[in-house]
Amino acid sequence: MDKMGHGRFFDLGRKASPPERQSMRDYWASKLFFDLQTPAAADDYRADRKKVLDRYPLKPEVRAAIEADDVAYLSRLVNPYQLRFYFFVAGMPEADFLRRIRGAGEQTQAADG
Amino acid sequence: MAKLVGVYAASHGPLIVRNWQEIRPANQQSISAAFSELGRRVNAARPDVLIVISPDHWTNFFIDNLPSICVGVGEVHEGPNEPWLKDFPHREIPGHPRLADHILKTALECDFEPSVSHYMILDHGFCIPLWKAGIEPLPAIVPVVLNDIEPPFPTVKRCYAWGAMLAEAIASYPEELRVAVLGTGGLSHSIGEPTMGLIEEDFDRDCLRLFESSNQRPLIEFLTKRLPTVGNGASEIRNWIAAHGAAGGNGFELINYKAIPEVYVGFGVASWNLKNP
Repeated sequence: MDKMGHGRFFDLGRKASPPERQSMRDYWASKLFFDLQTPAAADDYRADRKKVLDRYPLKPEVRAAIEADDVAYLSRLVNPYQLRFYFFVAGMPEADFLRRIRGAGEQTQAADG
Repeated sequence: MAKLVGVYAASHGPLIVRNWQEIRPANQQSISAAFSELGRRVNAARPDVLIVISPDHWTNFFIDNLPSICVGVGEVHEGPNEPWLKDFPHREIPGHPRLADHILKTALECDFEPSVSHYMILDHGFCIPLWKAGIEPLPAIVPVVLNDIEPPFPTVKRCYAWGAMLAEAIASYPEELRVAVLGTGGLSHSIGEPTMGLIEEDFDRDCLRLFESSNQRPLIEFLTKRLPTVGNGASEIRNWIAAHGAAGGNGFELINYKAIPEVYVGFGVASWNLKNP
């Protein structure tokens, strides 16, 4: 497996079913992630997360998930492309993100019995 | 009258650019050779205008207003905003407002109601194939955003019909103009979901066989049934379907397909042999 975890997952084949695609989203988490595409906004965010988060009327549990880098929780609230982009901008290493998002699938499967 | 002189499709995975150095040499070679052949064919067709069909990766649109289909009618479009595409050679990309407007009018006559953008940023979905294929000089671009990113998605059948409408619009455009169509994205990949990194090669190959069969009904039925069951990025095959519709559902020729785990995609490049280009 390389440092991004490609080989292992590719070789193992399907281990988790893709989640049912949803069109319900958390608007403000999505808006935050969307706005961070602007390089200056991303710089501000990396410099002072709290200050940027204060500008968005996030639900407390959503804000807590963002502050805790809770990939699994946030994966249920935002578009997957936005999720991946956000953690890239936030500085999470790709291998770490892959481990967490794949873990999110295992959590869902466990919850489904 | 305008003339359809080429129809093409190509993957656009961002890691093709962002992680180029981490791609194994054999896979770099596959990608480069396929894009080079695509560029050779496009350049040989000498299009004045290239209609590029791609999703918008949250660049122009957000969930407060997310079109299923949007046509860029601007005189000029902006080059990609992704910082890792800063070396893309065009910061401004010429549009073709008259053809774009004619496409819109034809679409409305054909019972489509696309949205309209007078200024669009063309993200990696548009620009990676243009760049890596070496399409120079860059023809005028009419961008068509097709929503493959955020559900609910347009149906596969509707995407095919959109492509057929494009062909009709080109054929009925009154000026002499050479026009080509390029659908970008796909094939299978999974981004930001638990299956991230998974490439479904069997699905891709089944799909490519159906493109080659020139019988659109089984292809449309296959994708309608299977797209919801595979990684989210495969949804971009809708853009290949639109290209297929523009080509009349015939003449598909695979230039290359290879599952490339370093870029997370079933990488594919294709063109269509048109009867009278």
